[in-house]
Amino acid sequence: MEEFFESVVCPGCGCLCDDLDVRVADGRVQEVANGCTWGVARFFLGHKSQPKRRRFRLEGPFIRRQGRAVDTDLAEALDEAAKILRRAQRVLVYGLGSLSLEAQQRAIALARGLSGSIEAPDLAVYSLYFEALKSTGGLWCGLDGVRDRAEVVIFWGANPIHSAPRLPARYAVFARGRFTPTGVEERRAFSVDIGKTETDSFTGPIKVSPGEDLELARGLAAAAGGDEGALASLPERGQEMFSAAQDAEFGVLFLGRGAAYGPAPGELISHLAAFASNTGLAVVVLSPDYNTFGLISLLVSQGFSPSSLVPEPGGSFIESPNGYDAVLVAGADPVFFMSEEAKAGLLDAGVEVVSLNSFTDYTTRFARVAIPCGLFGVEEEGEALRVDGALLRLRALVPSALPNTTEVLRRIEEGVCA
Amino acid sequence: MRIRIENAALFDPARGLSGERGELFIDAGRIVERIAKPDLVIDAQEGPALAGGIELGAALASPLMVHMMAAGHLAPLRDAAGAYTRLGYTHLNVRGVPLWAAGAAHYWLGKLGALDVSVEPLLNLSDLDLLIKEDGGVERGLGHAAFLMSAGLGIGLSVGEPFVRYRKEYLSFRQASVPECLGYVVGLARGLGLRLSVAYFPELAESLTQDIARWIHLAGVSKEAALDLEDFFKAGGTADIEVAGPRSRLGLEAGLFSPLNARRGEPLLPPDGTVALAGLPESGDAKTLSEVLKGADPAGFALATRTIPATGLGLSAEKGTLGPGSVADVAIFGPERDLTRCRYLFKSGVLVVDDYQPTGLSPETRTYCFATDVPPEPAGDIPGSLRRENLSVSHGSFSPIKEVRRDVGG
Repeated sequence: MEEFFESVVCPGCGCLCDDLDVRVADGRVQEVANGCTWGVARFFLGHKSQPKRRRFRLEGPFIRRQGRAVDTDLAEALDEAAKILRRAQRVLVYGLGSLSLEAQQRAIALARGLSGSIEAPDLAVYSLYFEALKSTGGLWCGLDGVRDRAEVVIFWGANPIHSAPRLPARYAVFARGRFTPTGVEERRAFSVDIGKTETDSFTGPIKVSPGEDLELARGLAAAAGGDEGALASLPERGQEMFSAAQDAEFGVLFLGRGAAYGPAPGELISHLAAFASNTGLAVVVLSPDYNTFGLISLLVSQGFSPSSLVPEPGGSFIESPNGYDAVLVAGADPVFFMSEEAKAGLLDAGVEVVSLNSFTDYTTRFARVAIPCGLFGVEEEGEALRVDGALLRLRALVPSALPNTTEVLRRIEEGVCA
Repeated sequence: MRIRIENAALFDPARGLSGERGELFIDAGRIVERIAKPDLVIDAQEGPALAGGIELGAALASPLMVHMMAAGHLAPLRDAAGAYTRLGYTHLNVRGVPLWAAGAAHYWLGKLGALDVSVEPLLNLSDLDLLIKEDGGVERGLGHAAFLMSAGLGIGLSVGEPFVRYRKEYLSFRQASVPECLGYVVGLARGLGLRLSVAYFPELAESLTQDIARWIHLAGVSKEAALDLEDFFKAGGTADIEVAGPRSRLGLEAGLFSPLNARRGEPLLPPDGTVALAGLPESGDAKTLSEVLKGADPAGFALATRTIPATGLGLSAEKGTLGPGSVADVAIFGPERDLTRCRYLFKSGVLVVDDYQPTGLSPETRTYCFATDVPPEPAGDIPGSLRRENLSVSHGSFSPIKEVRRDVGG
């Protein structure tokens, strides 16, 4: 049987493009229209950044016993996961940016119940920006506003081609909006990054060495505050960017993960927030995970202070995995990003990893318990918040025998509390 | 459950009650004339009994909610909802929500527990600029307005700016003055049969004629302006003043000339019987609340937080009053008349605050939206980048919907 789904929401990245048309036959996706390679790869169960690379599904739950992954049933895997988390003193719940709001809520409740910590790849950028809002204030906007009105677009530590591939075409740079009828001709785009990126080809790139970005941000903030000396000391392209931001009726600064990589990310983001606030730029954080804004929104709305969500320098799970007794990983592959030393530390410290994933990945190789779950937006339905806070509903397009992520989290929570 | 509340000082300006001692009866979630055998009797000990409070302009569930919470200008969701309950509020309305953010607004509102909710999507007159001066422009605009309410599941519309003025000179032919825009807004309001909420700007003052008063609610008036609006109020106009909360410099760029600010930050104005209060429970700590309510008598408080808001939202037939047939949202304060702490609160006949403590009971709550016969049809492009089917608020993730025909009042 063949089915067509129109206006499907893509779980590829935080843009949550809602214009995909998908053909399903024989219980599998056969055709996807309008998506970027990332999004399309998601529907064909491929690798996000390497669509042609084969990915293996995690077919069933397993428990690692004496170094060997032993297949088991769901009930036993859930029981074992609950035992691991219950007996651990220091628990971390990691990932969550690629889960639905409902699943995220469950995971947060679980972390709270265990008095554990929560860490996600892009939470630091959001948290540092939110922290900066206290002193600088700030302007927020929808992606519609960017498309319709933005005259200046700045990508800072953000390569949209790698974090939100359709953003430049659909909203930020080339899109023709209501009051930007010629699209890119009406806009000036800049990017600030430490290396050469694809974004350079359609923006005015400003290349900085590690550490120079902080100087540039400090100069921009000072210039926006009226310090003419600071303006004069900016590099030529930096002055150009400043003038464009100041002269524009409306502009937007996209903050990416790169903004949190330097030695003083808090200071850098605070300067950028001040620069944006004083020049009237809206700030939007870009995340490659499709529901990171949902996660930070849930956390903040439940009373988590943004500053509590920022790991100490060098203290993130990827850098120092031995700071925990047990880690529940959902919708992420942190081990992929770990150095060899960190991986060795993970093993030496005997950190017990519980992995909820749709695929086998680096993290499942280190997992004590792995439980397969359906894929949101393809096999499971749920709601997510776009990078600007718009709520969209992801649909289940194909049937799946894999357990539902929200249900798995609920049952682990039950087991932990039993 | 059938409930009798006895020995209460009744304050209901809509029915001319100003502290008269009396009884209230609740049956099946409604206020009724009388019941024979109550299951529960509450002795109010001569404490003031008011209808449930109605918040006209909540920051909760607005697109800036998360930013305000992160910056410490708004309490976390549960605490903020608890603050409303403690103050005897039972209905929360969020206004000025751009259509793309309406789904999220309903999502957050669905988490508030013991509160009825409603949303007023933002109507940006710049989206209708070419229609404002056109013959038959109102008729075409009606479909657009109906579309905004239908897709955003709105109870009305909130006009962000009562004028159209473009920043770009080559678009200046699209400008429209305050009287032109106001006339257009009133035309839409008449066509839809509801009162539209219009953000207050000083330029409005000269255009507020008596014949349009019953078709608009002025949102966020200043203290000085409120004193000059006597004729407007006499002609049936309603207005609210936003209580100053913590100072913030947070704004939302929504296609208007100025960003939608998180708080206008006007000075405090005690309820004096002419304007409603908006943002009161969100205004912060107990000190701020007691400052606002210092010297306020329950009658003025009932007008400012019940009667006028219910009229402004067009819900006066069933909310903001203690009259038989209305929803059994009743707030009873202690005999010491401290209006910052509600002693008993009934929401739809369910006791949610008992002797100043939340009971944890879950009453029946509703999402109020406006029922219109006007076919929804956006003028020109659908506002926003989302496809139409994804733009509409998906049903199911929030309180059951109640469609209402609104009463525009006298």
